Formats: sequence, C-alpha cells, structure tokens
Amino acid sequence: MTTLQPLARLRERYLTPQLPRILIHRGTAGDAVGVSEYGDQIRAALGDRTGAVADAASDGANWAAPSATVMHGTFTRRFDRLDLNGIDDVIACFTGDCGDEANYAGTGGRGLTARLGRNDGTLGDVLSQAGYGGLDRALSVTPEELLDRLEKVGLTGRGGAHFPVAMKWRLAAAHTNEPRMLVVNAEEGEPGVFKDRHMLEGDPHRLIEGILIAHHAVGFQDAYVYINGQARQARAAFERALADATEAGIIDGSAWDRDFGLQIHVRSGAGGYVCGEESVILNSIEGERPVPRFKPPYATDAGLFNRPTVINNAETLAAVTTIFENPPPPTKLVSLSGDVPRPGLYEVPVDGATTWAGVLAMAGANPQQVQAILLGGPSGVFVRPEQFEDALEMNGLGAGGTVVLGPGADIAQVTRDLASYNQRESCGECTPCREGSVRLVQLLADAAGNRERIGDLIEVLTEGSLCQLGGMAGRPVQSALEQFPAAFESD
Amino acid sequence: MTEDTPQFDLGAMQAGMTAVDELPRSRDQLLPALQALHDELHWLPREAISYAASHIRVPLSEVYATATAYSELRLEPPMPGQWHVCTGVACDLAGASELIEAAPDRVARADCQFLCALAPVVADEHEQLYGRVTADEFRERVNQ
Repeated sequence: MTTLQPLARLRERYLTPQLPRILIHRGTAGDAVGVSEYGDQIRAALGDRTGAVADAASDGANWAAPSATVMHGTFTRRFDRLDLNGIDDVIACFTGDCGDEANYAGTGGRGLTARLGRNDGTLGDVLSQAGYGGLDRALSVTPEELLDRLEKVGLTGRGGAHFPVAMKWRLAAAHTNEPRMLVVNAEEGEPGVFKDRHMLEGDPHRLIEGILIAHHAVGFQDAYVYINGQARQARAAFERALADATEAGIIDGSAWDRDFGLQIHVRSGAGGYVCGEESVILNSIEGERPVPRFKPPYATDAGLFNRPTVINNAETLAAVTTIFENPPPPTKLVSLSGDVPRPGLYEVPVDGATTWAGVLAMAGANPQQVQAILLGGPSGVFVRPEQFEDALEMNGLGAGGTVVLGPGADIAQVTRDLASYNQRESCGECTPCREGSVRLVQLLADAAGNRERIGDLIEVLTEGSLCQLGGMAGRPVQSALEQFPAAFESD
Repeated sequence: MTEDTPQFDLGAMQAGMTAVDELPRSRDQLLPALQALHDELHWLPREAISYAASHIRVPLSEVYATATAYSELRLEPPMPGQWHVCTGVACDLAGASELIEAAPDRVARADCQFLCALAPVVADEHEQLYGRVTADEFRERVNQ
C-alpha cells in the first residue's frame, strides 16, 4: 500500500465527479448586465436537473456578458450576450447538442487566467484544475532553491514598477531576527484597471497559493491582503476561499504535514488613487492617515509596524504560482476598454512577439481606426499608431490599464480630465503635488500658450513629489503634448 | 449640538457600535471601525466618529484626519434616490455625458467604477452597478 501524497490526499477529499454543467458568469460584471435573470430561466427550464447549474465569476470576456458556459468534462462552450431566446441553445448544448464542434474550445489553458470563469468557487473545482499544484512544487524545494527558480524565470512585479521579485524577497529574507510581514496590494485604484477584481472574484485560491509560496521562500508572521473598498464581491470571494482553504488545512500547512505559522488578514481600502501607493497602504493598515512615507527606510527594511515587509501586487503573487510551468508563461493581465468591439480582461503574452496591433486585433479592433491607446490611466502615456507594430515590453505596461481611443476621442479633453483627476486625488502631503497638480490643470486651459511653463512644472512634479501620484501626474500631459500637439492648437 | 445636525438611523448606529465592540482596541483597527459604522449608517455622523475614537482610544482630531482622507467615507448623509454616473475615460467615450443630461437633477458624477469594459456605467443609491446603459434606459430606471 502506498501513502497518498499531500495534493492527492486533498484531491481525494474534495474532488467531485465532473458531470456536465452550466456555469452562469456572474461577478460584478455579469451582475451589472443582469445575468441572474437568465440564470433563473435556465434553472427553471432544467427542472430537476437544476443542480447542474452553478454560479461562476466573469471569465474576463466582459464584451460577452451576459453569458453562460456549458462544460462537458474538459470541453466548454460559452454562450455570449444571452437573451431569453438564447436560453434554448444553452439547454440543448447541456443535453448533448452543442452544434458545430468547431464551437468547442478546450480548457486547461495555461497562465493566470486558466481557471477564470471555469470554476464555481469550490475548492474541489479549483483542485481539479491544477489548483495548489504550484505550492506543492514549491514545497518540494528549499526556500533558496525557490528563490533561485524565481530569479531564473525573471519574474518581476506586475503592479507597474517592475521590480525583480526574487530580489525583493531576498532583501526581506535577509532580516533573520525579526518577524517579517507580507502586504498584498489588491487596492487597484488606478482608473481603467480591473484585473485584480476579476482574479479575486474568479480565482481567489490562486492568490492564496501565491501568498503561501512567498511564505515558503521568505517566512512571514502575518500577511495582510489589502483589497479595494468598492470591490465587495472580490473581498467576499477571497474570504470564502480563505475559509475553505483554512478548513482543508492548506493555510496552516497541515495538509502537507507542516506548520506554516502564517496569519492571513483581510483589509479593505476606502477610496483614493493614492492608496495604491505601497507606503500609503502601510499607513492605512496601521490606522494612520493614508499618506505616503519618506523612503528610505524601504519597506523591506522597516515597513508595516516597522518590520521587514514585502509588498507585492496581487497579480505578482498570482504569477508566482506559474513559475514551475515549463516554460513559465511571461504574461501580463491587460484591462482593455474604450473604443473596441470586445473590451475585457486579457492575458497577453509578453514574449517579444506580441504587438499592440495584435492586442487590438484580439479585441476585434481595426488598428487603422484607432487614434491612440491610453496606457496607464492618470499616470500613463498615449501610444501612437506608429508604435502599434512595436513588441510589448513588460516594463512599459504599467499595471496594464489600456483605454483605446477611437477617431472621435478628444485627446486634449482626455488629457485635461486626467490632470483634474490627479488634482482631486492628490493627498496634499507634499507641496509639489498639492500645488503643482492644481497649477497643471490651470495651465492646460491654454496648453499651446503655456507649453514651456507646463514643461517646467512637470519637471518639479516629477523630481519633487513624495510619491508616484505626483511623480507621474505630468506623464500623460507630456505624452499628449509631444505626440499629439495638434490636438491642443485648436483649444 | 446644533438643531440642524443631520439625523441618523439609531438602529443602524446601534448595529455599527456592536460591530465596533467586536474589534480589538488597537490603532490598526481604526479604519475597520470606521468602515463597520459606515457599512451600517452609509455615512459617518459626529457621534459615530466619536464612538470609533473612544473605542480605539485615539484623539477625535486624528480620527477626523483619517476619516476625511478617504473618498469613500462620507461625512454627510447620502441623498436618497441619487444615482452616480461614472465619468472615467472609457465611460466618457461611451457617452456618460448623455446619461447625466438624461437626469441632471438626480445624478452626481463619479470617478472610475472599475467596470470600464461595460461602459457607460451607473450606480444606484445602494451602489449596485449597471453597465452598457443607454440614455433611455437610464431615464426609465431613475424615474421608476
């Protein structure tokens, strides 16, 4: 008789038979277009087989909402833009007639989004789709080997600053005498970005897995998961997953016959773009005013409660779960909106081959019909059509917020709106940003006439601000003035 | 207190206070305490701020400094029946201004609601979001 390995034990305990079923794509996105009504209709039509219908979160295909996915084992078919007439097609597919087989798409995709919209939120469903496999692999190597692997893979922070993850973790791990802290940044307050919400609503176990892998590498006393205050469904889904994983012995390590000794806490933000800045999160968790801290000291030396602290974006920790895939997918979550036929959340390969034109094509847009792409919202830049054939680079993608501006968009007005937003969101702690963001809005009223003063002001904002809200407030303005000067001449 | 202090729901205040009582008396519980009160009352009257201050044992002025710094914590009661229209970039492109014009007396502008792929987006008084809203649909919903 052989003893089951930990992951196999978990699967034996939680896996349920994979019967044909229908997943209704709810989540914040589905609920906003009334998908529940169709879910109710489908349940009613199935009568005593209604148990085969389950709620799932969005799979990122926001353009398709309201939608439902029929799953037969590993084969799936999604029905888009449901209306009451389309219910019959869903039922027919469920009972065996899905029409043309070309409409099937295989599941088991790789990367961070493989399980999005493909699971009903239960631990069994997640385990059946390779959940906690990355943690299991990580636990089979020493922390040092894990850090080496991370370094070899070259994983970098996905929140925008692009810092090497292995280096950050090593800096904190080097403090051997103190309890260390992990802060997970799921504040996601940058307008235009909705990736962490999707990931937390649709696959919260992946974040838990990433946290536990980080814990194995560094060794923390506490992990604080800081979730955007408006993202209520994301928090609820994460807390449910945390409870399920706790019950299964995943959090305390007993499922692996270990004692992880990690406490995971969940906190909600309460609004404010500046709250995505990592030192602001530290103040917010400590109950201080949400303003940035001076650096140094850096968080890895003295962060939360003055202890060595690793602050990682939620997407970064989700990406950590994929480092044992061979080869690990270098992908970035891109929140795509604006003038495109298929807006939604995309996982884009950043492998040197993907271009903006390729991303636009994925979203059904004709690059010839695009005036510009706003990349990075109020801290971002405008990408011109001449750059659409350039390959995407990880360090140029920020947090992945992408708004496509069609021929009708007024770039000067968008620029002024972004400047006004930064002015409203300035926390007031440092003078360059508090005063400079106001002056920038004023000068933009006559951008062409004030060109030189705007340049000087942006230099002050960039060099003198305490944090990146002020530091990058001039970026979209400078980008717009340089790339689209004509847009400001008619003002 | 002056006579024009806005009234709050005593039952909601009681529920909020009970939730605060569950929290440890430590500084890092200040925001959770304010949020617990806000979840029940949907705004923070002076009495709620005082209660959080005394429970966490932090000076009132510091609690106000924190409470006023977060855009989602309201220090005035919400207007019943008021809708918010998202005016983020994607929603602007998708016609947010037409939604505002459709019911100018009943709506306020809101910053990004993070549902950009379903623009334009509105929120009702209970913060329920609606996506891909047309001006006609919006007018109908507001007047329901």
